[in-house]
Amino acid sequence: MSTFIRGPLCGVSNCPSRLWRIIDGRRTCQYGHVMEGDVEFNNDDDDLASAGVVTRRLNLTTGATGSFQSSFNGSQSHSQQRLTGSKKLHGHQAKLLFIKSFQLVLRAQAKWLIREKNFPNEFEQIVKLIWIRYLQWLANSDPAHTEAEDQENEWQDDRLERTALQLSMSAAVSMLYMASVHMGLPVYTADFIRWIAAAELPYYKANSLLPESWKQQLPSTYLRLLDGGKPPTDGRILLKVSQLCFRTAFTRQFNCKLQYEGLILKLILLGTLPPEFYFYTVELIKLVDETDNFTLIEHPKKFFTKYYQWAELRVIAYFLVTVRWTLLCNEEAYPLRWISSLLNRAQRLDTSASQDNLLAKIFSSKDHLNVSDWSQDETSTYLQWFKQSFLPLQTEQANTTIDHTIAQRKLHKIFPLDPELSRSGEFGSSFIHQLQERYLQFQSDAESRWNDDPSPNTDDRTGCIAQLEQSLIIQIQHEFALSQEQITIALRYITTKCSQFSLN
Amino acid sequence: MFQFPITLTSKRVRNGRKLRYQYVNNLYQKYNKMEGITTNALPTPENSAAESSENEGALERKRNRIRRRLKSIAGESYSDSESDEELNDTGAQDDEEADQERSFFKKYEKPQESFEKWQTESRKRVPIRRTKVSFTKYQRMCKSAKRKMANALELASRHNRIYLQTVSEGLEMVEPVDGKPETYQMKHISVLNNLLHVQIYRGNWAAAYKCFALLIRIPEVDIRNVWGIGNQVLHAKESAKYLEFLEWMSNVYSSRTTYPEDINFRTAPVFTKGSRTHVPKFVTTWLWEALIQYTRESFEINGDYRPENDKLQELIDKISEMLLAPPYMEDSEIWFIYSLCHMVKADILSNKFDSHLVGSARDIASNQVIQHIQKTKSCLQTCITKDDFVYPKRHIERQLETFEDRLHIDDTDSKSMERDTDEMNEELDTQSIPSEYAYQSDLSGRSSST
Repeated sequence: MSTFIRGPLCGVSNCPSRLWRIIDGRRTCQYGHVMEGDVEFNNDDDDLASAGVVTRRLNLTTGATGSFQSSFNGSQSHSQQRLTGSKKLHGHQAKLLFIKSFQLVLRAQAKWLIREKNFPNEFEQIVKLIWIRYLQWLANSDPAHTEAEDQENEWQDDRLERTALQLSMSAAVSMLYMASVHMGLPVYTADFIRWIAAAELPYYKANSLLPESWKQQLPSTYLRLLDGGKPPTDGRILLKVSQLCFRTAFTRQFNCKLQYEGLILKLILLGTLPPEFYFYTVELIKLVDETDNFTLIEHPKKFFTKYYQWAELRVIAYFLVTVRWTLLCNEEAYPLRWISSLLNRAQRLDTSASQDNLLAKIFSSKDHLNVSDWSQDETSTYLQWFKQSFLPLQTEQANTTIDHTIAQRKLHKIFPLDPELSRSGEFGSSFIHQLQERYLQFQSDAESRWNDDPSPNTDDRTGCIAQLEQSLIIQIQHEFALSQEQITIALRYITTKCSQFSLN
Repeated sequence: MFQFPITLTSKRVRNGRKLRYQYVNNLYQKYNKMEGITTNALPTPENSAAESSENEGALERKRNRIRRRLKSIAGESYSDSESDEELNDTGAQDDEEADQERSFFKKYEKPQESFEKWQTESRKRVPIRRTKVSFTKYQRMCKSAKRKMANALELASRHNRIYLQTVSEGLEMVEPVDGKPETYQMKHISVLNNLLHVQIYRGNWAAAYKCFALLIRIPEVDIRNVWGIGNQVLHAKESAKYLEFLEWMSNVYSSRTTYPEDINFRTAPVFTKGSRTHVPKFVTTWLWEALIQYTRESFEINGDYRPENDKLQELIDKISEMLLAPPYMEDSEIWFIYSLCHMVKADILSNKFDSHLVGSARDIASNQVIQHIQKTKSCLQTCITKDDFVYPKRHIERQLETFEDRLHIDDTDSKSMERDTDEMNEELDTQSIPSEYAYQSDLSGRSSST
């Protein structure tokens, strides 16, 4: 028993021993350290003893604080990972938990709207009704007609598993939107987009709202769904709304008429247009279209190209047509100088944008955004927003060790966040104030141009109107998170509809 | 627009890489087998353990032969010996599937100094291996390599299957490496990153500082990608802190910590990490900066020299620690900095040397200087033996000589000494010094004139 074999250096806690012996089939060093993974089988059939020899050296590394730490060996860290991995739920249970989590997020969103944006208290109840309708659809939908002959009991249990839930954060926002349409609130997609883009509404990183135990149990695919991820651009919210309307039979049971007057007002203010355009647009809609056309529609599929059926986009198209036609026809009231100063204002808007415009632009940008033409005010506004709203969303990764956190804290001490950038001009002024400012600026600009020498040229005029329309479309595209293609298709349809009407 | 500070990782890319390395390793194995090349690995404990069971291996082979024989007798269709061996091989392969990449890189040295390594010196050139493989042979190799990974390919995604097919035929798959920012998170990080670069370009350091402070607070951002920018910002904004920051970098990211470089091909590894043979750049930057800073400080407080407040000595201790304790930094550059530290120290001490001292006090003082000079020489010697670092050798030797001379000069001769140094400086200009080390010579020139 006391015969030692010369072998590799032991190395466990700097053990210098090179001598090994075998005690109970395990290779043990002179000082009693057991060699890991070295197990001797007394099994004649297999040659596992020779194959199973795994030696191990202790790798010394330095920790975050500069002290030595021994690296974990493979087997230990593996077993730890397995422990955490086993907590995740699978299949039916995971789906149930996800539905619960989604409900929690939806409730938090509705509560936020009631608390921060003064929505009526009944709003939460309406959202709940819609959510219940959706759950009913989930329970009753036929996932596969071919298997209808299967045993009824088993089928009931499996049903939830077979249907795709098709729930995402955009579905949550769509439900909120539907509820506000039902209640006739003057809230439109642009508002939701604005709240999402400014990270006010719980949308991105909504999974941080969940309790810790749920987060550990929920599979990562579902967690990622609640993370928000890609922003819902290209009219994805409107698409989701029509899909959800189909599933919840919204048009039959709820009030689905869009209150378009508020939307028109919003568009007028967006373009800083004089108030008569509001009446023109309303008049045009009443003349050409029936009110039934401004309801939420039902559409089961993901593929959809009849964009003009979306009530909001229809209103936007009518607005654009009104602007175009009014400016083209009424040359006395709106001379070229007036239009060009309006256009000028719209272009100037790009250079000195407020926080909302800035965030909306980032929100709907498809590529790396060019920031080189940002002014100092814009930069500081953005950084301020980033610090106040975006950073709190950043949660530490769960698997950081104490070493990591200490090191991070030291680093943050080297780079403190304290120094504020100086800003010219006051911010945080009220919406009405900003609006007044905008109209006043436009007015003074228009008046100053009034005395410029007039150059009546019809080509210039139409070109100018086209430019104005284009800039309006781009603004709407950013604010409502629609794609340019969607707007132009809807606009084309409404134009032909209106011209047909005028011919009759 | 600018390089992203985030290492983009995705499972797809990782799996694709795994497949590629598996394929290359299989090809390599097959080639070795066909050419009859046996790789003789270094003696490791595993090897020595396997040696003892060599007889068992022979036994195993014999058993296999008998089994094959029995099979053929039993009438089982039997193609050729190879396929049977291959079946055994695949069994063994599955166990080590995760290590394909590592086993590939074991055969190669990863170029750490740059993306590529070119040998310009003619005596170090290695002749190209001119062994040729015929086309049929090559096809056989490819076929068997693919057959071996049939399982892995079956499990891989369609994209990865196409990827392997493309790569194995010598083509390249074009896809955006540094994808457009799509998620909300990525969009904002990209905007912030762009802002940071734009502000630095404009020299607007306050805004740049704020951008950087925000950027490093996002958990996904790896500071090893942006430490250079951070250092620059600190230099301009709060110069007192940059040494602290660099020290933090070298403490936290010592050379052994792994750096994930999944898709960021654009970051040269030299700037982001170290390895066994290679010191990370932030460590060398820190040492250089510290040396320059401390030297400047110690010459500024020329009048009252307090040994308890000696930062230079601290730096010397730190470097010696880095050289002697794991992770051993054995770069010649580190040795050179170490020697320079001693040289500056010798300079200071020899300047302080009071020639009126007598007896043991004089001996102690002069011994200190001599000791540092000796240390400098020995460090430079180590640096030379590593043979990949060029420095103005003659200049340093002369400097050391002048330091030594100061010990023997009475203060009446001090004027002549100054003349000496002037002459030496003129002489120095004729000597060619690599431009990148110009500031070192500047430094020592400065020290000699004081």
